[in-house]
Amino acid sequence: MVRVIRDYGLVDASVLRAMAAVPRHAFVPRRQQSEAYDDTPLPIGYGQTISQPYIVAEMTRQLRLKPGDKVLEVGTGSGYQAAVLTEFTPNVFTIEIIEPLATAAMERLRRLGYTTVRVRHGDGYNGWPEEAPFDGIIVTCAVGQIPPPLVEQLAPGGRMVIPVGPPYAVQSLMLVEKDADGTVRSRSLMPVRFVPLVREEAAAR
Amino acid sequence: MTTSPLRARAAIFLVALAVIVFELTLIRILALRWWHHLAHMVIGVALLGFGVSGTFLATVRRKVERDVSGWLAYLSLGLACSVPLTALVAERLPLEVAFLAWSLRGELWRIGLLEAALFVPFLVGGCALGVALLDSPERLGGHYAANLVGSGLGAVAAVALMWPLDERGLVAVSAGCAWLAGALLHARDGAARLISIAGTAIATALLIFTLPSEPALSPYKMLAQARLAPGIRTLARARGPLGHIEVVAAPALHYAPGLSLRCTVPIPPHALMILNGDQTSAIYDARERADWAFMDWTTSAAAYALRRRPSVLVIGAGGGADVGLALLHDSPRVVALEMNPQVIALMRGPLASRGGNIYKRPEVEVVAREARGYLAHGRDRFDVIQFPPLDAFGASGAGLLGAQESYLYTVESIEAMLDRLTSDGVLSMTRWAKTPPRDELRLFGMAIEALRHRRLDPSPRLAMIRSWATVTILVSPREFTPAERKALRGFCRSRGFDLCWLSDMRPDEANWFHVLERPYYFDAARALLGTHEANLIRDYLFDISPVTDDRPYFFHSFRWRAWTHIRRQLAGQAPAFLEVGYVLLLAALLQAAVLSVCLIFAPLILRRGGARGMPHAGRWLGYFAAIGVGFMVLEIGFIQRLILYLAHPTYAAAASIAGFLVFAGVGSGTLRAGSSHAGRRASVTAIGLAGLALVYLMGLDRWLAITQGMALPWRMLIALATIAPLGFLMGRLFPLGLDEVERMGPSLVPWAWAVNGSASVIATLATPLVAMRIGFANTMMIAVAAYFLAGLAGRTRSSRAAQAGCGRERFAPGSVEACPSGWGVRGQLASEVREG
Repeated sequence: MVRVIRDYGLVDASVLRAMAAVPRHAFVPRRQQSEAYDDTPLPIGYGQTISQPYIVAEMTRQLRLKPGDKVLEVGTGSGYQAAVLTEFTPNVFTIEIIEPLATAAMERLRRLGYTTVRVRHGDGYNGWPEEAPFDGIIVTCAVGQIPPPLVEQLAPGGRMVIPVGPPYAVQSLMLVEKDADGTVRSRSLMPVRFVPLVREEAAAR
Repeated sequence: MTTSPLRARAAIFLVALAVIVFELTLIRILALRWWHHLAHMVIGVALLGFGVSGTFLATVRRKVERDVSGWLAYLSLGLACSVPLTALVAERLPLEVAFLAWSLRGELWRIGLLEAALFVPFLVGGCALGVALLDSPERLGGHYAANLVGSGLGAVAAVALMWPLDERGLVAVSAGCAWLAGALLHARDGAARLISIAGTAIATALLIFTLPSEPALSPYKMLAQARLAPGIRTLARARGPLGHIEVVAAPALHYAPGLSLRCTVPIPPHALMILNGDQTSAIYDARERADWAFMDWTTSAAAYALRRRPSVLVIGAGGGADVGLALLHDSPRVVALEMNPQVIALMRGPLASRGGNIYKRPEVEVVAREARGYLAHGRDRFDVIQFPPLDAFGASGAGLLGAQESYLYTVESIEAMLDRLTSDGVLSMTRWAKTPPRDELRLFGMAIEALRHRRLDPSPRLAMIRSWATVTILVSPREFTPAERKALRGFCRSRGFDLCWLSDMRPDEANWFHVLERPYYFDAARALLGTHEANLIRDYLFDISPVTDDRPYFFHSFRWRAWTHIRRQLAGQAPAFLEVGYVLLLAALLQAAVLSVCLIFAPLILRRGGARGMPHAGRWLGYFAAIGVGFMVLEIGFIQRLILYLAHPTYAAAASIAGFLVFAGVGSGTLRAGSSHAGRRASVTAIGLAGLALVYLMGLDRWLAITQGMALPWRMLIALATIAPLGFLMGRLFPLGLDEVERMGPSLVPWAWAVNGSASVIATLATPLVAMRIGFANTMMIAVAAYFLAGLAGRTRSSRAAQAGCGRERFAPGSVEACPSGWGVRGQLASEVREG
């Protein structure tokens, strides 16, 4: 799996190390075990997925986390992304609105030794105001909306990463940055360098 | 058959009706569970069920002929049982089509199981109708007619029944009709058969009882996701031929798509109105005018930065958010166009107060009409036209709509909207922003095309802006003034929106707030408006060429020739860009071709060794292939044309199917069995039909345009009357050809049936694919050519056949090797592929 991620051009050693450290199969439903390390998203029930490994790695890289940073994840799912984040910082907060998923993720993370992750069952729209501000936020953007409270809870200099597209086909990432003065800017990131013109690409080779 | 003709025909009518009602119900169930894109594959299999029934009956013919009535009765009862059983599988099978692009391996066996389940009732239904045609020759004309009329009326009945009945009710009607057919034939035939009637009734009723009241939705559909929210409540429900509506609310449901990241204005509490489980609009509880202020933080509000207190036309008013935006800007008059009467009834009834009574405001005029019909025949002009509501975020992004046509997103549609603007009006069109851009650039190119058709310079009449989520294109019949351009710049700056095109825009103004790797939109807009337009369209990874009424596939932007580039660039990310709807259509065609060979031709070859050695067999098999292709291409082409005329695919499919089948039934029913010179008559009819189809092709659009302004029932009648001459002639070709082939040699009959069946199935699935490439007008020419070739084939044989003097009674007992079972029903089934 790590080799596949590297093939995309992602060479950040800390991210690759984190991806290698977390056992993805432990976060995948039993009937998907054989595909646990394939480079595909996998269903985990309730219309949620465990993201494609490369997307997880790229989102993690985009957060540029430092030890001690506070990071919020909206949409815990299986808990896999939260586990990867703990390889960078123990201060991981994650919210899941679907109760069975939240409960299962809480149990799974504890069982696997990710004891610093704090899981909450609730509406991620409102963020986690008691723990704000956050240096990094990952949010699943289901219907083309970024909750304003999350933007507010982003620390100056913080980065928010949003996968864009339906859960089974994330097509790009969005990065929201808050400057030191509180100004918010956003960027659209293709997961890999993507040239939309056939001819241009041919010319570049 | 010992049963009276009347009773037999009543049974045939009921079975044909049951089959088509079930087929329409299945399309609806599958569209609700997933999206419309499985329909092609499923209907292809269903049609094969009919095809295989011919081969099956050829094998067991001698047994069947001993008790035609009994077989028909048992098969009808079998159909009654298989209908709810198949519905149960279709509603409950845990298949997840959303993952097909990623993991075909995991889902393949489930697709196979679903198709096998769908195959059974159509095989049984096809066999039942086929058995009926093994009756004595003098009865066949009436039997044909009963079959076709039953099918035609079944299409109309199914649509009408979608108002009062849910899917379970529709399944019950279909199964009930099949059971009644069996009961009619068995009723006087002794205790054993009475027991089978009762037993079937109980089994069918039990199966229907186990059906869920609604199909299990894909968990990736919006409604399924919403239902997971804590405290979810269903506020209202409605259903009809246009779909299911469910209105839900929960504290954790938030919906304000595309809102600026800078928006700090509160969003009023809201409910979600979800159509067919996915298409969502919000009903905001906006009590005061100021409560709509959040809508001013979307790119859709740009038009109001240019026009003060405008009169507004909102296309697809839904929950009323765009109407609220107009009221926020003091619009003195808002026409809210909503084609679904149930949405209007909900907004005026149980949801009126929740939506701030927006549909009842004195400034708001609600019109229940499809947009193209309204645009073509109204007279009012507007300062702002808002079009259209955003489609479902997930379905749009994943290419699930790829094979779905839309007459709203065409150059002609934009021209019609421009015609309804005041001299300084503004057309505002909003789409999701995609990475890389696709639909948005295509729409921009279509606006350019529409303006050029009016001999207007597009550059100063166009503007394009984008947020992180949406792109809005503004089009005006006159040039934007410097003051307007300044206002638009101010609007964008304050909200953090990016300018993508203004005629005086500098390159350094692009790509400021939501930064892309390059200013793709500005670069593309400049290319589309300049001399590099053709190069850009040719070289772009996705198809962004303008879409017209003749090729109305706005959502289909996938290019095979770009696939290698996409794969090379994106590696494992590539499946995310695969257009699932389109690929499934291709897969369905491939599957139909393979299964035709395996299930229809192979058994015939194994059993009889083929039709080699028979003079002119090839020509006549060509005839049957040609009329199979011609029938389906013409019918699907008509459905396409009528979508625009009758304002909805469901109405278009119902009118077209009913028209073609009923009049084909009349055409075949008026033939006398064993008529002389059948080959020559077939030839003349086919050539006449080719000529008539050509006349239609040249004049149909003009004729329909003249009557477009009439009320829907009148337009329905006109559509039926227009179809009548074609359907009448089409209905005669199969029996005439069969008559001739029967004279040549009975062993050729199953081959004729097989070739015709396979050609019909393949044509059904190939027609939309061909139309995507060459347009419907050119595709319809294929039908003309097919009938012309059929005429030539028939002509050659007929003269020689006459010389040879071969002639036996058509369908003489013992002579029919395979049964032309339900060939008309098959046609109608196939055309239903387009219904979605």
